[in-house]
Formats: sequence, structure tokens, C-alpha cells
Amino acid sequence: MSAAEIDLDGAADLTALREELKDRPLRTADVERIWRRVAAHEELADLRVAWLGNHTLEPLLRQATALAFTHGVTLASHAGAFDQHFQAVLDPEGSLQRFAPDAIVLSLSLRGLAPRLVRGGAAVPIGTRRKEACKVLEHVRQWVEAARDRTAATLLIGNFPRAPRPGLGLADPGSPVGDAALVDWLNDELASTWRDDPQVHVLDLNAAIARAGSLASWNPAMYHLAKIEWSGPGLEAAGELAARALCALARPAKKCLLLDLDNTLWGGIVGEDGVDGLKVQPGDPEGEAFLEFQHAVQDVKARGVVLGLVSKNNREDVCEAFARLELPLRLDDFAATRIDWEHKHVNIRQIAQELNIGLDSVVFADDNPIECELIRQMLPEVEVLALPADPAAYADALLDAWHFDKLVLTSEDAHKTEQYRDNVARAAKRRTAADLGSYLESLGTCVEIGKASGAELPRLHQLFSKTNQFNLTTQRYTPAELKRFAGSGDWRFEWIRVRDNFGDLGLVGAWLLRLDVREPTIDSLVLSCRALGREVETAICNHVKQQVFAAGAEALLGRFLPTAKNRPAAGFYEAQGFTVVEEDADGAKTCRIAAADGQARPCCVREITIKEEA
Amino acid sequence: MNPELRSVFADTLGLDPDAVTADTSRRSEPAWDSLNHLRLVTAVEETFGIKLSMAEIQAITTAGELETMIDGHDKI
Repeated sequence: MSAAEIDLDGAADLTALREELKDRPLRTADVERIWRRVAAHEELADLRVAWLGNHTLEPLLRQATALAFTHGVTLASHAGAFDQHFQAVLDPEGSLQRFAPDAIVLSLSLRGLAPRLVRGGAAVPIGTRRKEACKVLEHVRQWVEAARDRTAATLLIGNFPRAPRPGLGLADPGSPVGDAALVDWLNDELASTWRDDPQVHVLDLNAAIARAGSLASWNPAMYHLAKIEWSGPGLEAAGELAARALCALARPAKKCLLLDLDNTLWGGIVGEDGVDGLKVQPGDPEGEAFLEFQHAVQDVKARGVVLGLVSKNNREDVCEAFARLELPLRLDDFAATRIDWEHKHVNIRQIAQELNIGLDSVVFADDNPIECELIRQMLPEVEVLALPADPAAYADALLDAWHFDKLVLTSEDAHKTEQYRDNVARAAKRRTAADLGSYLESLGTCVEIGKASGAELPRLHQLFSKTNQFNLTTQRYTPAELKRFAGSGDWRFEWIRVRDNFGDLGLVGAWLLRLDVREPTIDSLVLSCRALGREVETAICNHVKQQVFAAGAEALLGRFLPTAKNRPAAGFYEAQGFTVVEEDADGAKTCRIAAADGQARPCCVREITIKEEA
Repeated sequence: MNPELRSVFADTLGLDPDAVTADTSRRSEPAWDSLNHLRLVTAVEETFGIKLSMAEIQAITTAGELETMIDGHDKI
């Protein structure tokens, strides 16, 4: 059997297992089965994860691996030796470095790390308890520093759950050095220390264990026998938290939530019950449940998810309902709407085209099982969120869904719907404009260019990891690498913001110029698809040419590496006046332009401003 | 042997249910390592609604002993 056949079998094996486990809760026995099968096919993993800490992490990583698997992400896991999290990252030839993780989960037990914080209660002097807490924080900080210097892996740091039975008893909340005060202080410090560092994220284990119940999660026999920190519900909750974070690292969040109206956003059917017969108001139990759901939809929107409506109704009825009822959601919260009698799969496909997103970025939520099944059959790429029978459970069903999980929210996320809606308006304008040139002029595009610094890094990392179409070399740089480029004199790392008469598109592009070579080289350039087709790329190239030639360079080089998705960028260098100097059979090419040919090319960008360095 | 216990063993240790007997022991079954021992205990506690003491957990060496222990326990 050839290697390719073995891979195929492995992939088929995992697909069959995933299919079998679909749509039912995970049981203890499933966890073990999944763990074994996934471990046997390590080469198929989407993400390689190392688990380090001072308690027994195997149950946690098995739980997380199994859960992530049922949600479509295969993890390869490596458990570090007990209480050797420092040694693991410090040893350059150790098993951790050989494993080459994409992510490292660090989970530390206060019982092991600072026993006098957990035990002894009032008998431990106040000063000692404070010192213990400072020591814990310092320990974690030093570990993060050590790990950051030696690995590009994303670091997920578990924070500390409150003790189920604090040593000071009832007096705990009143004491400045009680478990509540010190654990909360520690967790606040952990949260703020790496807030702007895209390589480090905090896992809120404290909240996870609290939700599961700290008493139910603590099994002293398991701890004393094997240093297993959480059992039962606590293990499940901690495993779910880790799995969600790892899935969020392994794949992009869904971009768009399409909603039905009748019995989804409000109770009743507007065409039959009339606007006044709808249940969506305070004072009525059903009405309040639908209001709660609308608020949950707003929460999801605020995370950067674009909303759309797909409803079989008369448009006038729906407009009247949104106009007359005092609803949390308004019609202009939706970037695209299809309110007519067309089949929903047709409308969903149209909306995806209109918003210029793939069907695999779409989640569709409906209360009607028949509509849900239709979409599953007709558009298998679309994720269907079938709402439960009871409207009281709608909001939780939406907030519990993993589809929209992101480890970091950027300021871009809060304005996504507006940005997409503006794009739809631009498209309408394009249809009425006489020719392309006058259309582009009418947009009134203005750009701002700046050097990458700490504040923009999370967004820049998002751009490098998510942009597929206009991406010249598809280098998926890690946050650590991007941070290094931003601080290095050998590289010039810049970004571009775009706005026009219709609104702000935000930070939409970035490029890396390599300077420590004979001829400056464009290493990579990414431009979000929402900024394409308006000559922004020409403005970028003019800017780069101007910079390097003004500094005395004889020529500028650029690389293009083809992928299945980046055809829109294939002719970029030629269009900017570069000559292909080298091209291999796969279409990878190096292009060059001499200073003598380096004048700016015409483009329809009205205004370019350069952001001064702070 | 209790069929429920047999399937707990098979699931947790990844064994063929027919291969699980009262004589299946920690000494002879390589999959029954210390971590799986605790997973087995958790699965048994979950399945039979009982709580084993630390001493009991440490004392178990064969499937038969565990079965006797379960029979002697009151449900919680």
C-alpha cells in the first residue's frame, strides 16, 4: 500500500467516525474511541497542541480532542511531563520542540504551585498569602517570556478557578487576602498583562469551572490518587473551553448569520397574526423570550458577524413590523435581506454573492425543521442552526454555538455589518454608473498608510491568516513572526486603511518589504476582498516604489506563489509594470522593476495620507 | 459477568467485549494502565450511580473484584 493510500484510509476513517457521532451528546466511551483513532492519524491533524502544567492533563486533553473532533477539527496532542512546563520550553532539543506545536496550553494548579494560598486559611499570615499570589503571577509571567522567546506557537494560559471551599470559610469574601480577593487579583493581572499580544490568550477556566459547579468538579480521591484537578462536569467544561479556543485557532469564524423572521425573531406569523398580534414585547413570557433572542443576535453582531434576513413574507408587512414595534434589532442591522416567496436556498445563495462571501462562511437559523432540512440538503456548505422547540431556549442555543468563536475581537468587528451594507450600496451604484472609470471616481476612495505597530497586530494577523484571494504569497505568519517584522530594521511592515463616500472599509491590507537583500523585495502582500476592484493595490505599489527608489534602490523585486484561490492576484506585478525574471512550472514567479521604470501608475484613489509614526 | 460492566470495560480499555471476563486483571491487560484505571472508576461511578472510596479504588485488581464491589454498594 502506498503512502497516499494510507492517508486516504485515515481520512476516510476519521470522516466515518465523525459522521457516526454527529448530532448526539458525547459519552465517556466516545472520548476514548475518538482519542485512539485521532492519535493513530496524527499526520491528518489540523492543529498540533502541546499541553503543559502541574496537574495530570491527559483527561483534559482527551476531552478537548474528542470535542474538537466532533466539531470538525482534528487535534494532534502532546502531553508534557508532569510539572515540567519550564523545562519543556527551555530544552532546545526536547520532546516539545520536536513535536513543533502550533499552540501550547498551560494549565497550572494553585494547589501545586502555591499550597499556602489554598490551604491553611487564617493561620497563614496576611503577608505570606500576598507573597504567594505575587509568586504565582511571576511564575506564569516568566514562563510566558521563556516560551515566547523559543516558540512561535500560540500560548493559551489557563487562569485560576476559585476554591470550592475557601480556607477562611464565611469570612473569605471580607478578607483582603481571602481566596476570592487573591484569585480575582491574579486573574485580572493575567487578563491585562497580554491584552495586546496576539500570541498569548487567557483561557477563562475560572468561569468554566464556576459554570460547571466547583463542588461537582472537585473529586479529592482523583486528585490525591493521580493529581487530576477536575472531574465530571468540571473536566467537561474545561475541555470544552480548551476545545473551543483551539477550534477558533484552527479555522476562521463564520462571517454571516442569516435569520428567519416568523417564530424566529418574533412569536407568530406577521402575514396572519398582523403586526399587533406578534409576540415580541416585555410583559409577555413568549414575547420576552423572543426579545432575549434578539439581544443575543445583537451580541453576535457586535462580534463582527454580518446579519441577514431570509423570510417568506410580504415585504410591506415586515417593514411595518420593524417600523411600528420597538425591537432591539432594526432593519438596518441587516446587511442583506430577502423577504419574498422564493425558496430559501436560492435566496441564501444570492445573499452570499451579494456580500461576496463563501457559503461556507454562512450560518442559517430557523425554527422550522423543514426549512432547516432543505438548506442542509441543498446547501451542505451552510451551517444550519435549527432552533429548539421552546423559544425560551433560542438565545442560549445561539450563544452556545461555536460558529462565531474568536479569541480576539478587533475594532473592525464592531462595524462589519455597516461595512458590508456599504458594499451592497456600492454595487448598486456600479450598476447605474456609465463606465468603470467614472464609477471609481464617484467612490471618492481615500487611503491611509502606516507602519505596523502593536495596536494593529491582531487585525494584521487576522488579515494574513484569512485572506485567500488577493494574497501574493499566502505566507501564514504567526503573531510572533509579525511582531518580529514590525520591530525589525530588516523589514518594512505596513498597512493600509480605506474609506470612501459610502463609509469606512477599515484596515484592509498589509505588506512586508524585505530590506536586508541586495534589491528590496516584496515578501508578501494581502488585500481583503472587500477592497478589491478599486485600484487600492496600485496605490500600495506606487507607495512602495516611491519609498524604495527614493532611498536609492536600483530595483524592486516581488514574488508570487500560486494557490488554488489566489488567481485574482496572479497578474498583479505585470499590471504594475514589473517584468517576470523567473518562473517555474507551478507558476511561482519572481518579478522585477528597475528604478528607471518605477514611476507611479495612474489610479483612482483620490487621496493618500501617510500616518506619522508616534 | 454484568453486561453493563463488561461494556464499560470494553469501551474504556478499547477491548472486544467478549474478551472481558472476571479474570481480566491490571497485571495482564496492558490497556489497563493507571490513567485508564481512573477513567474506568469514573465510568463505573457514572454508570452504576455509586461512589468508590480511595481505598477501594486502589484495591481493585480484577474485573471480578470490581463487580463484587459494585454489588455491595448502595446507590447514591
